Amino acid sequence: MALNNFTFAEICQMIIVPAFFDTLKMLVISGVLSTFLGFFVGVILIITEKGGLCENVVVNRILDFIVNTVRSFPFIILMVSIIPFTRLIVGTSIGDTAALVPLTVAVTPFMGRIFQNSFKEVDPALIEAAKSFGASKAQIVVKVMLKESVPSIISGLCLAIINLLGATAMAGAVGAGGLGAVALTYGYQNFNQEIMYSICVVLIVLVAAIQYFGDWIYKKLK
Amino acid sequence: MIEIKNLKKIWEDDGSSVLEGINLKIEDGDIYALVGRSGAGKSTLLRCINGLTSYQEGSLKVDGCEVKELKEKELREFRRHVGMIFQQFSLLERQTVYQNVALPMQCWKYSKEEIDKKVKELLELVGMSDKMNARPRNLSGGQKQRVAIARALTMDPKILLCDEATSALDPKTTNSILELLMEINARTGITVVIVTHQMEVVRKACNKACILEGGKIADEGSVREIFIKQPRSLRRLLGEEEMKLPETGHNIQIAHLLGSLEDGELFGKMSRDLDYVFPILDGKIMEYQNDNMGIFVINVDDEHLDAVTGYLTQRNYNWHELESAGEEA
Repeated sequence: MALNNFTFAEICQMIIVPAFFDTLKMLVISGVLSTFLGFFVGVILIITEKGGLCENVVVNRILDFIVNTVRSFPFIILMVSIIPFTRLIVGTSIGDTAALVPLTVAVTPFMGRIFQNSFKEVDPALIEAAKSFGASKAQIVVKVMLKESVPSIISGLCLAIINLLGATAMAGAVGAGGLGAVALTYGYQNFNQEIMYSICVVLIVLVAAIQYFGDWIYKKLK
Repeated sequence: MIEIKNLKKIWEDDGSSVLEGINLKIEDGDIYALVGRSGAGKSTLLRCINGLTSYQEGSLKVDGCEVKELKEKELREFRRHVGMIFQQFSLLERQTVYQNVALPMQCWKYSKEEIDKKVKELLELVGMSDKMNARPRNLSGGQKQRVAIARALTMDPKILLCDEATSALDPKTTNSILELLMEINARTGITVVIVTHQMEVVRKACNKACILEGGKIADEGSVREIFIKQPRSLRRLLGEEEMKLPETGHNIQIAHLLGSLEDGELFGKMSRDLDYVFPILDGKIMEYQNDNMGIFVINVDDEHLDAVTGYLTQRNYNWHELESAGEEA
Protein backbone atom coordinates (compact mmCIF):
# COMPACT_ATOMS: atom_id res chain seq x y z
CA MET A 1 0.00 0.00 0.00
CA ALA A 2 1.52 3.27 -1.04
CA LEU A 3 0.69 5.92 1.46
CA ASN A 4 1.53 8.64 -1.02
CA ASN A 5 -1.84 8.14 -2.64
CA PHE A 6 -3.67 9.31 0.46
CA THR A 7 -4.01 12.69 2.08
CA PHE A 8 -2.91 13.14 5.69
CA ALA A 9 -6.53 13.37 6.81
CA GLU A 10 -7.27 10.01 5.23
CA ILE A 11 -4.19 8.48 6.82
CA CYS A 12 -5.33 9.80 10.15
CA GLN A 13 -8.73 8.27 9.75
CA MET A 14 -7.47 4.97 8.43
CA ILE A 15 -4.43 4.37 10.61
CA ILE A 16 -3.91 6.77 13.47
CA VAL A 17 -7.44 6.94 14.89
CA PRO A 18 -7.95 3.14 15.05
CA ALA A 19 -4.45 2.83 16.50
CA PHE A 20 -5.36 5.40 19.13
CA PHE A 21 -8.35 3.34 20.18
CA ASP A 22 -6.26 0.16 20.22
CA THR A 23 -3.83 1.89 22.55
CA LEU A 24 -6.66 3.18 24.69
CA LYS A 25 -8.15 -0.30 24.89
CA MET A 26 -4.84 -1.84 25.98
CA LEU A 27 -4.30 0.98 28.43
CA VAL A 28 -7.70 0.71 30.06
CA ILE A 29 -7.92 -3.07 30.26
CA SER A 30 -4.38 -3.71 31.49
CA GLY A 31 -4.64 -0.61 33.68
CA VAL A 32 -7.74 -1.90 35.42
CA LEU A 33 -6.39 -5.45 35.71
CA SER A 34 -3.04 -4.36 37.10
CA THR A 35 -4.64 -1.91 39.53
CA PHE A 36 -6.88 -4.65 40.81
CA LEU A 37 -4.05 -7.19 41.12
CA GLY A 38 -1.62 -4.55 42.36
CA PHE A 39 -4.01 -3.68 45.18
CA PHE A 40 -3.76 -7.23 46.49
CA VAL A 41 0.01 -7.29 46.06
CA GLY A 42 0.25 -4.01 47.97
CA VAL A 43 -2.10 -5.19 50.72
CA ILE A 44 -0.26 -8.49 51.16
CA LEU A 45 3.11 -6.72 51.22
CA ILE A 46 1.97 -4.28 53.86
CA ILE A 47 0.09 -6.63 56.16
CA THR A 48 2.73 -9.36 56.15
CA GLU A 49 5.65 -7.05 56.88
CA LYS A 50 7.18 -6.99 60.34
CA GLY A 51 4.73 -5.46 62.78
CA GLY A 52 1.97 -5.59 60.16
CA LEU A 53 -1.60 -6.76 60.67
CA CYS A 54 -0.81 -10.38 59.73
CA GLU A 55 2.92 -10.54 60.14
CA ASN A 56 4.39 -13.30 57.96
CA VAL A 57 8.01 -12.85 57.07
CA VAL A 58 8.17 -15.78 54.64
CA VAL A 59 5.25 -14.63 52.48
CA ASN A 60 6.56 -11.08 52.62
CA ARG A 61 10.07 -12.05 51.48
CA ILE A 62 8.82 -14.22 48.64
CA LEU A 63 6.39 -11.64 47.30
CA ASP A 64 8.96 -8.90 47.68
CA PHE A 65 11.45 -10.96 45.70
CA ILE A 66 8.95 -11.64 42.91
CA VAL A 67 8.02 -7.97 42.69
CA ASN A 68 11.65 -6.94 42.48
CA THR A 69 12.44 -9.59 39.91
CA VAL A 70 9.59 -8.68 37.58
CA ARG A 71 10.32 -5.00 37.96
CA SER A 72 13.96 -5.46 37.04
CA PHE A 73 13.09 -6.84 33.58
CA PRO A 74 13.13 -4.30 30.76
CA PHE A 75 9.59 -4.50 29.40
CA ILE A 76 10.58 -5.64 25.93
CA ILE A 77 12.55 -8.58 27.35
CA LEU A 78 9.78 -9.48 29.78
CA MET A 79 7.28 -9.50 26.96
CA VAL A 80 9.32 -11.92 24.91
CA SER A 81 10.31 -14.15 27.79
CA ILE A 82 6.76 -14.77 28.99
CA ILE A 83 5.41 -15.71 25.55
CA PRO A 84 4.63 -19.30 26.64
CA PHE A 85 2.65 -17.95 29.58
CA THR A 86 0.83 -15.51 27.28
CA ARG A 87 -0.08 -18.39 24.91
CA LEU A 88 -1.34 -20.41 27.82
CA ILE A 89 -3.69 -17.66 28.89
CA VAL A 90 -4.99 -16.08 25.68
CA GLY A 91 -4.01 -18.78 23.17
CA THR A 92 -1.85 -16.51 21.05
CA SER A 93 1.21 -14.36 21.45
CA ILE A 94 0.38 -11.81 18.76
CA GLY A 95 -2.06 -8.95 18.76
CA ASP A 96 -3.72 -6.56 21.16
CA THR A 97 -5.24 -9.18 23.41
CA ALA A 98 -1.94 -11.02 23.71
CA ALA A 99 -0.20 -7.78 24.64
CA LEU A 100 -2.54 -7.41 27.62
CA VAL A 101 -0.83 -10.28 29.41
CA PRO A 102 2.74 -8.94 29.48
CA LEU A 103 1.43 -5.42 30.07
CA THR A 104 -0.51 -6.55 33.12
CA VAL A 105 2.33 -8.71 34.37
CA ALA A 106 4.81 -5.86 33.99
CA VAL A 107 2.72 -3.16 35.65
CA THR A 108 1.15 -5.17 38.48
CA PRO A 109 4.32 -5.16 40.64
CA PHE A 110 4.68 -1.45 40.04
CA MET A 111 1.08 -0.93 41.11
CA GLY A 112 1.75 -3.15 44.10
CA ARG A 113 4.59 -0.91 45.22
CA ILE A 114 2.41 2.15 44.75
CA PHE A 115 -0.28 0.72 46.99
CA GLN A 116 2.31 -0.46 49.49
CA ASN A 117 3.95 2.96 49.70
CA SER A 118 0.62 4.74 50.01
CA PHE A 119 -0.48 2.40 52.79
CA LYS A 120 2.84 2.90 54.52
CA GLU A 121 2.13 6.59 54.83
CA VAL A 122 -1.01 5.95 56.84
CA ASP A 123 -0.31 6.90 60.44
CA PRO A 124 0.12 3.67 62.48
CA ALA A 125 -1.75 5.45 65.28
CA LEU A 126 -4.88 5.35 63.12
CA ILE A 127 -4.55 1.61 62.74
CA GLU A 128 -4.10 1.28 66.47
CA ALA A 129 -7.18 3.41 67.05
CA ALA A 130 -9.19 1.20 64.70
CA LYS A 131 -7.98 -1.86 66.57
CA SER A 132 -8.96 -0.21 69.83
CA PHE A 133 -12.62 -0.10 68.83
CA GLY A 134 -12.57 -3.64 67.57
CA ALA A 135 -12.32 -3.21 63.79
CA SER A 136 -11.44 -6.42 61.94
CA LYS A 137 -8.33 -6.66 59.81
CA ALA A 138 -10.30 -6.39 56.58
CA GLN A 139 -12.09 -3.34 57.94
CA ILE A 140 -8.80 -1.76 58.92
CA VAL A 141 -7.44 -2.28 55.40
CA VAL A 142 -10.52 -0.98 53.61
CA LYS A 143 -12.03 1.57 55.97
CA VAL A 144 -8.82 3.04 57.35
CA MET A 145 -5.76 2.32 55.22
CA LEU A 146 -7.41 2.49 51.80
CA LYS A 147 -9.71 5.40 52.58
CA GLU A 148 -6.98 7.50 54.14
CA SER A 149 -4.49 6.92 51.34
CA VAL A 150 -6.76 7.46 48.32
CA PRO A 151 -5.17 10.74 47.19
CA SER A 152 -1.69 9.31 47.40
CA ILE A 153 -2.85 6.19 45.53
CA ILE A 154 -4.38 8.32 42.79
CA SER A 155 -1.18 10.22 42.13
CA GLY A 156 0.71 6.92 42.14
CA LEU A 157 -1.73 5.33 39.71
CA CYS A 158 -1.29 8.27 37.41
CA LEU A 159 2.42 7.61 37.36
CA ALA A 160 1.88 3.93 36.67
CA ILE A 161 -0.61 4.50 33.87
CA ILE A 162 1.77 6.84 32.06
CA ASN A 163 4.39 4.15 32.47
CA LEU A 164 1.92 1.68 31.05
CA LEU A 165 1.33 3.90 28.04
CA GLY A 166 5.03 3.70 27.26
CA ALA A 167 4.86 -0.05 27.53
CA THR A 168 1.88 -0.30 25.13
CA ALA A 169 3.94 1.53 22.53
CA MET A 170 6.70 -1.03 22.99
CA ALA A 171 4.22 -3.86 22.73
CA GLY A 172 3.76 -2.71 19.14
CA ALA A 173 7.18 -4.15 18.40
CA VAL A 174 5.89 -7.70 18.82
CA GLY A 175 2.68 -7.46 16.94
CA ALA A 176 0.29 -5.63 19.18
CA GLY A 177 -1.38 -2.75 17.38
CA GLY A 178 -1.72 0.71 18.70
CA LEU A 179 0.09 3.97 18.34
CA GLY A 180 3.52 2.51 19.04
CA ALA A 181 3.19 -0.05 16.25
CA VAL A 182 1.98 2.56 13.78
CA ALA A 183 4.80 4.94 14.65
CA LEU A 184 7.30 2.15 14.13
CA THR A 185 5.96 0.50 10.99
CA TYR A 186 4.25 3.33 9.10
CA GLY A 187 6.46 6.05 10.47
CA TYR A 188 9.98 4.90 11.25
CA GLN A 189 10.35 1.96 8.87
CA ASN A 190 8.48 3.74 6.09
CA PHE A 191 10.48 6.96 6.43
CA ASN A 192 7.22 8.82 6.96
CA GLN A 193 8.05 11.54 9.42
CA GLU A 194 4.60 13.05 9.29
CA ILE A 195 3.03 9.92 10.79
CA MET A 196 5.80 9.40 13.30
CA TYR A 197 5.73 12.91 14.71
CA SER A 198 1.98 13.19 14.68
CA ILE A 199 1.88 10.06 16.83
CA CYS A 200 4.44 11.61 19.14
CA VAL A 201 2.12 14.58 19.49
CA VAL A 202 -0.83 12.30 20.23
CA LEU A 203 1.21 10.56 22.92
CA ILE A 204 2.32 13.84 24.44
CA VAL A 205 -1.28 15.03 24.62
CA LEU A 206 -2.39 11.71 26.08
CA VAL A 207 0.26 11.80 28.81
CA ALA A 208 -0.56 15.41 29.63
CA ALA A 209 -4.26 14.57 29.78
CA ILE A 210 -3.69 11.65 32.15
CA GLN A 211 -1.45 13.74 34.36
CA TYR A 212 -3.84 16.69 34.53
CA PHE A 213 -6.77 14.42 35.19
CA GLY A 214 -4.82 12.69 37.97
CA ASP A 215 -3.79 15.99 39.55
CA TRP A 216 -7.35 17.24 39.35
CA ILE A 217 -8.75 14.20 41.15
CA TYR A 218 -5.93 14.38 43.69
CA LYS A 219 -6.81 17.96 44.52
CA LYS A 220 -10.50 17.11 44.74
CA LEU A 221 -9.89 14.26 47.15
CA LYS A 222 -7.15 15.72 49.29
CA MET B 1 -12.98 -3.79 87.61
CA ILE B 2 -9.45 -4.13 86.35
CA GLU B 3 -7.21 -6.40 88.38
CA ILE B 4 -3.54 -6.65 87.59
CA LYS B 5 -1.38 -9.17 89.38
CA ASN B 6 2.38 -9.55 89.05
CA LEU B 7 2.28 -8.43 85.48
CA LYS B 8 5.53 -8.59 83.60
CA LYS B 9 6.30 -7.59 80.07
CA ILE B 10 9.54 -7.78 78.15
CA TRP B 11 10.27 -6.49 74.66
CA GLU B 12 10.57 -9.43 72.34
CA ASP B 13 13.25 -7.69 70.29
CA ASP B 14 15.96 -7.42 72.89
CA GLY B 15 14.53 -9.06 76.00
CA SER B 16 14.65 -5.89 78.05
CA SER B 17 11.90 -5.60 80.57
CA VAL B 18 9.28 -2.87 80.27
CA LEU B 19 6.98 -3.71 83.13
CA GLU B 20 7.69 -5.77 86.18
CA GLY B 21 5.74 -6.81 89.24
CA ILE B 22 2.74 -4.63 88.49
CA ASN B 23 -0.07 -5.07 91.00
CA LEU B 24 -3.06 -2.84 90.65
CA LYS B 25 -6.75 -2.78 91.23
CA ILE B 26 -8.92 -0.28 89.42
CA GLU B 27 -12.49 -0.23 90.69
CA ASP B 28 -15.54 0.53 88.60
CA GLY B 29 -16.15 4.25 88.34
CA ASP B 30 -12.61 5.23 89.29
CA ILE B 31 -10.72 7.89 87.45
CA TYR B 32 -7.36 6.29 87.74
CA ALA B 33 -4.08 7.89 86.77
CA LEU B 34 -1.01 6.05 85.59
CA VAL B 35 1.73 8.62 85.92
CA GLY B 36 5.40 8.55 85.24
CA ARG B 37 8.05 10.04 83.07
CA SER B 38 8.33 9.04 79.43
CA GLY B 39 9.66 5.51 79.13
CA ALA B 40 8.27 4.48 82.51
CA GLY B 41 5.99 1.97 80.82
CA LYS B 42 2.68 3.67 81.52
CA SER B 43 1.43 3.68 77.93
CA THR B 44 2.49 0.07 77.55
CA LEU B 45 0.58 -0.87 80.68
CA LEU B 46 -2.48 0.92 79.30
CA ARG B 47 -2.21 -1.06 76.05
CA CYS B 48 -2.06 -4.29 78.04
CA ILE B 49 -5.52 -3.47 79.39
CA ASN B 50 -7.20 -3.60 75.99
CA GLY B 51 -4.86 -6.15 74.50
CA LEU B 52 -3.13 -3.87 72.02
CA THR B 53 0.04 -5.32 73.41
CA SER B 54 0.62 -8.56 75.23
CA TYR B 55 2.40 -9.42 78.45
CA GLN B 56 4.46 -12.47 79.29
CA GLU B 57 3.76 -13.15 82.93
CA GLY B 58 1.14 -12.43 85.52
CA SER B 59 -2.48 -11.73 85.06
CA LEU B 60 -4.61 -8.85 83.91
CA LYS B 61 -8.31 -9.35 84.40
CA VAL B 62 -11.03 -7.02 83.25
CA ASP B 63 -14.29 -7.97 84.95
CA GLY B 64 -12.80 -11.37 85.69
CA CYS B 65 -11.74 -12.05 82.12
CA GLU B 66 -8.06 -12.68 81.43
CA VAL B 67 -7.12 -10.41 78.50
CA LYS B 68 -4.11 -12.48 77.45
CA GLU B 69 -6.22 -15.56 76.86
CA LEU B 70 -8.74 -13.95 74.54
CA LYS B 71 -8.81 -15.23 70.99
CA GLU B 72 -8.72 -12.80 68.11
CA LYS B 73 -12.51 -12.66 67.79
CA GLU B 74 -13.17 -12.47 71.51
CA LEU B 75 -10.57 -9.73 71.76
CA ARG B 76 -12.39 -7.65 69.15
CA GLU B 77 -15.66 -8.17 70.99
CA PHE B 78 -13.94 -7.27 74.27
CA ARG B 79 -12.55 -4.06 72.80
CA ARG B 80 -16.05 -2.87 71.99
CA HIS B 81 -16.46 -2.30 75.70
CA VAL B 82 -13.16 -0.48 76.15
CA GLY B 83 -12.92 2.91 74.48
CA MET B 84 -9.59 4.59 73.93
CA ILE B 85 -8.36 8.09 73.11
CA PHE B 86 -4.88 9.14 72.11
CA GLN B 87 -2.40 11.97 72.35
CA GLN B 88 -2.51 12.71 68.64
CA PHE B 89 -6.30 12.18 68.48
CA SER B 90 -6.01 9.56 65.72
CA LEU B 91 -8.90 10.79 63.62
CA LEU B 92 -9.22 9.95 59.96
CA GLU B 93 -8.16 13.15 58.22
CA ARG B 94 -10.20 12.58 55.09
CA GLN B 95 -13.46 11.89 56.86
CA THR B 96 -15.85 14.33 58.44
CA VAL B 97 -16.40 14.55 62.18
CA TYR B 98 -19.65 12.65 61.75
CA GLN B 99 -18.03 9.85 59.73
CA ASN B 100 -15.22 9.57 62.25
CA VAL B 101 -17.61 9.10 65.13
CA ALA B 102 -19.76 6.71 63.10
CA LEU B 103 -16.83 4.49 62.10
CA PRO B 104 -16.81 2.09 65.08
CA MET B 105 -20.54 1.49 64.76
CA GLN B 106 -20.20 0.90 61.03
CA CYS B 107 -17.53 -1.67 61.75
CA TRP B 108 -19.98 -3.40 64.05
CA LYS B 109 -22.73 -3.20 61.47
CA TYR B 110 -25.27 -1.12 63.32
CA SER B 111 -28.19 0.16 61.30
CA LYS B 112 -28.00 3.62 59.77
CA GLU B 113 -30.74 4.94 62.07
CA GLU B 114 -29.03 3.66 65.20
CA ILE B 115 -25.72 5.15 64.09
CA ASP B 116 -27.29 8.49 63.25
CA LYS B 117 -29.06 8.71 66.57
CA LYS B 118 -26.01 7.76 68.62
CA VAL B 119 -23.54 9.94 66.72
CA LYS B 120 -25.74 13.01 67.05
CA GLU B 121 -26.33 12.32 70.73
CA LEU B 122 -22.60 11.97 71.41
CA LEU B 123 -21.62 15.01 69.39
CA GLU B 124 -24.15 16.93 71.44
CA LEU B 125 -22.59 15.56 74.63
CA VAL B 126 -19.09 16.65 73.68
CA GLY B 127 -20.34 19.97 72.32
CA MET B 128 -19.37 19.39 68.70
CA SER B 129 -22.79 19.26 67.03
CA ASP B 130 -22.17 22.35 64.96
CA LYS B 131 -18.94 20.89 63.54
CA MET B 132 -20.55 17.66 62.38
CA ASN B 133 -19.52 18.10 58.75
CA ALA B 134 -16.13 19.63 59.35
CA ARG B 135 -12.92 17.75 58.68
CA PRO B 136 -10.43 17.16 61.50
CA ARG B 137 -7.79 19.35 59.86
CA ASN B 138 -10.04 22.37 60.36
CA LEU B 139 -10.47 21.70 64.07
CA SER B 140 -8.36 22.78 67.01
CA GLY B 141 -6.62 20.21 69.20
CA GLY B 142 -9.26 20.39 71.90
CA GLN B 143 -12.06 19.95 69.38
CA LYS B 144 -10.31 16.97 67.83
CA GLN B 145 -10.01 15.35 71.23
CA ARG B 146 -13.71 15.93 71.84
CA VAL B 147 -14.48 14.15 68.59
CA ALA B 148 -12.15 11.33 69.60
CA ILE B 149 -13.96 11.06 72.93
CA ALA B 150 -17.29 10.85 71.13
CA ARG B 151 -15.87 8.10 68.91
CA ALA B 152 -14.57 6.20 71.92
CA LEU B 153 -18.00 6.32 73.55
CA THR B 154 -20.08 5.04 70.63
CA MET B 155 -20.27 1.49 71.95
CA ASP B 156 -21.19 2.56 75.49
CA PRO B 157 -17.92 1.23 76.88
CA LYS B 158 -17.44 0.39 80.53
CA ILE B 159 -13.86 1.57 80.48
CA LEU B 160 -12.24 4.55 78.78
CA LEU B 161 -8.49 4.50 78.31
CA CYS B 162 -6.78 7.84 77.78
CA ASP B 163 -3.25 7.74 76.46
CA GLU B 164 -1.65 11.13 77.12
CA ALA B 165 -4.94 12.55 75.90
CA THR B 166 -4.20 16.07 77.08
CA SER B 167 -0.46 16.23 76.51
CA ALA B 168 -0.77 17.99 73.17
CA LEU B 169 -3.21 20.57 74.49
CA ASP B 170 -2.77 23.93 76.19
CA PRO B 171 -3.64 24.17 79.93
CA LYS B 172 -7.05 25.73 79.41
CA THR B 173 -8.10 23.16 76.81
CA THR B 174 -6.66 20.43 79.01
CA ASN B 175 -8.96 21.57 81.77
CA SER B 176 -12.02 21.59 79.55
CA ILE B 177 -11.25 18.08 78.30
CA LEU B 178 -10.73 16.86 81.87
CA GLU B 179 -14.01 18.44 82.92
CA LEU B 180 -15.72 16.62 80.07
CA LEU B 181 -14.19 13.32 81.16
CA MET B 182 -15.24 13.94 84.75
CA GLU B 183 -18.74 14.80 83.64
CA ILE B 184 -19.02 11.62 81.59
CA ASN B 185 -17.64 9.63 84.50
CA ALA B 186 -20.15 11.16 86.89
CA ARG B 187 -23.03 10.64 84.50
CA THR B 188 -22.37 7.10 83.30
CA GLY B 189 -20.08 5.68 85.96
CA ILE B 190 -17.56 4.73 83.30
CA THR B 191 -14.13 3.75 84.59
CA VAL B 192 -11.48 6.10 83.22
CA VAL B 193 -7.81 5.21 83.13
CA ILE B 194 -5.62 8.18 82.36
CA VAL B 195 -2.00 7.88 81.34
CA THR B 196 -0.20 11.16 81.77
CA HIS B 197 3.01 12.83 82.78
CA GLN B 198 1.19 15.99 83.86
CA MET B 199 0.63 16.15 87.59
CA GLU B 200 -2.01 18.86 87.07
CA VAL B 201 -4.14 16.28 85.31
CA VAL B 202 -3.89 13.88 88.23
CA ARG B 203 -4.62 16.61 90.71
CA LYS B 204 -7.63 17.88 88.87
CA ALA B 205 -9.40 14.79 87.65
CA CYS B 206 -8.25 11.59 89.29
CA ASN B 207 -9.24 9.92 92.52
CA LYS B 208 -6.52 7.29 92.47
CA ALA B 209 -3.09 7.18 91.00
CA CYS B 210 -0.12 4.97 90.48
CA ILE B 211 3.35 6.35 89.93
CA LEU B 212 5.47 4.23 87.64
CA GLU B 213 9.23 4.43 87.58
CA GLY B 214 11.31 2.29 85.28
CA GLY B 215 8.50 -0.19 84.70
CA LYS B 216 7.77 -0.67 88.38
CA ILE B 217 5.20 0.80 90.70
CA ALA B 218 6.86 3.39 92.91
CA ASP B 219 3.74 4.51 94.74
CA GLU B 220 0.07 3.80 94.54
CA GLY B 221 -3.08 4.92 96.27
CA SER B 222 -5.60 7.68 96.44
CA VAL B 223 -4.41 10.90 94.91
CA ARG B 224 -5.07 12.71 98.14
CA GLU B 225 -2.91 10.30 100.05
CA ILE B 226 -0.10 10.56 97.55
CA PHE B 227 -0.14 14.33 97.72
CA ILE B 228 -0.20 14.27 101.47
CA LYS B 229 2.62 11.77 101.68
CA GLN B 230 4.67 13.55 99.03
CA PRO B 231 6.74 10.46 98.29
CA ARG B 232 10.07 10.96 96.65
CA SER B 233 8.77 9.46 93.40
CA LEU B 234 6.22 12.27 93.25
CA ARG B 235 8.84 14.91 93.82
CA ARG B 236 11.03 13.40 91.16
CA LEU B 237 8.09 13.43 88.81
CA LEU B 238 7.40 17.08 89.51
CA GLY B 239 11.01 17.72 88.68
CA GLU B 240 11.64 19.32 92.02
CA GLU B 241 15.24 19.47 92.97
CA GLU B 242 16.08 17.68 96.14
CA MET B 243 15.77 20.25 98.81
CA LYS B 244 18.85 20.82 100.93
CA LEU B 245 17.56 20.14 104.43
CA PRO B 246 19.37 21.26 107.55
CA GLU B 247 21.34 18.52 109.30
CA THR B 248 20.26 19.63 112.74
CA GLY B 249 16.86 19.21 114.30
CA HIS B 250 13.88 17.54 112.66
CA ASN B 251 12.41 18.43 109.32
CA ILE B 252 8.66 18.06 109.45
CA GLN B 253 6.51 18.09 106.38
CA ILE B 254 2.91 19.14 106.81
CA ALA B 255 0.30 18.63 104.12
CA HIS B 256 -3.15 19.94 104.62
CA LEU B 257 -6.22 20.80 102.66
CA LEU B 258 -6.76 24.48 103.12
CA GLY B 259 -10.44 24.48 103.87
CA SER B 260 -10.85 27.85 105.49
CA LEU B 261 -8.88 30.96 106.04
CA GLU B 262 -7.98 29.78 109.52
CA ASP B 263 -5.79 27.04 108.11
CA GLY B 264 -3.48 29.74 106.89
CA GLU B 265 -2.98 30.85 110.45
CA LEU B 266 -1.58 27.52 111.58
CA PHE B 267 2.04 28.51 111.91
CA GLY B 268 1.37 31.81 113.54
CA LYS B 269 -0.97 30.22 116.07
CA MET B 270 1.32 27.28 116.72
CA SER B 271 4.23 29.59 117.28
CA ARG B 272 2.23 31.63 119.72
CA ASP B 273 0.63 28.70 121.52
CA LEU B 274 3.89 26.84 121.95
CA ASP B 275 5.91 29.98 122.44
CA TYR B 276 8.43 28.65 120.00
CA VAL B 277 9.72 30.20 116.79
CA PHE B 278 10.74 27.78 114.06
CA PRO B 279 11.94 28.30 110.49
CA ILE B 280 9.71 27.44 107.52
CA LEU B 281 11.98 25.80 104.94
CA ASP B 282 9.57 25.30 102.11
CA GLY B 283 5.97 26.07 101.37
CA LYS B 284 3.67 25.73 98.45
CA ILE B 285 0.00 25.61 97.77
CA MET B 286 -1.37 23.48 95.01
CA GLU B 287 -4.80 23.05 93.66
CA TYR B 288 -6.25 19.68 94.39
CA GLN B 289 -9.55 19.04 92.66
CA ASN B 290 -11.70 21.78 94.13
CA ASP B 291 -9.53 22.44 97.15
CA ASN B 292 -6.17 23.92 97.80
CA MET B 293 -3.54 21.83 99.46
CA GLY B 294 -0.76 23.46 101.35
CA ILE B 295 2.53 21.64 101.74
CA PHE B 296 5.09 23.03 104.15
CA VAL B 297 8.37 21.93 105.62
CA ILE B 298 9.47 23.30 108.97
CA ASN B 299 12.53 22.64 111.06
CA VAL B 300 12.03 21.84 114.74
CA ASP B 301 14.69 21.25 117.35
CA ASP B 302 14.80 18.16 119.59
CA GLU B 303 13.40 19.97 122.56
CA HIS B 304 10.17 21.06 120.86
CA LEU B 305 9.61 18.04 118.63
CA ASP B 306 7.02 16.35 120.79
CA ALA B 307 5.17 19.55 121.45
CA VAL B 308 4.97 20.42 117.76
CA THR B 309 3.96 16.97 116.55
CA GLY B 310 1.44 16.67 119.33
CA TYR B 311 0.00 20.02 118.38
CA LEU B 312 -0.30 18.97 114.74
CA THR B 313 -1.79 15.57 115.49
CA GLN B 314 -4.30 17.05 117.87
CA ARG B 315 -5.55 19.35 115.13
CA ASN B 316 -5.63 16.64 112.49
CA TYR B 317 -2.84 17.93 110.34
CA ASN B 318 -1.05 15.30 108.27
CA TRP B 319 2.61 15.46 108.99
CA HIS B 320 5.68 13.29 108.69
CA GLU B 321 9.32 13.71 109.33
CA LEU B 322 11.60 13.98 106.34
CA GLU B 323 14.89 12.26 106.65
CA SER B 324 17.93 13.92 105.19
CA ALA B 325 18.51 13.24 101.52
CA GLY B 326 19.94 9.86 100.61
CA GLU B 327 18.44 8.02 103.56
CA GLU B 328 14.82 8.35 102.68
CA ALA B 329 13.58 5.40 100.70
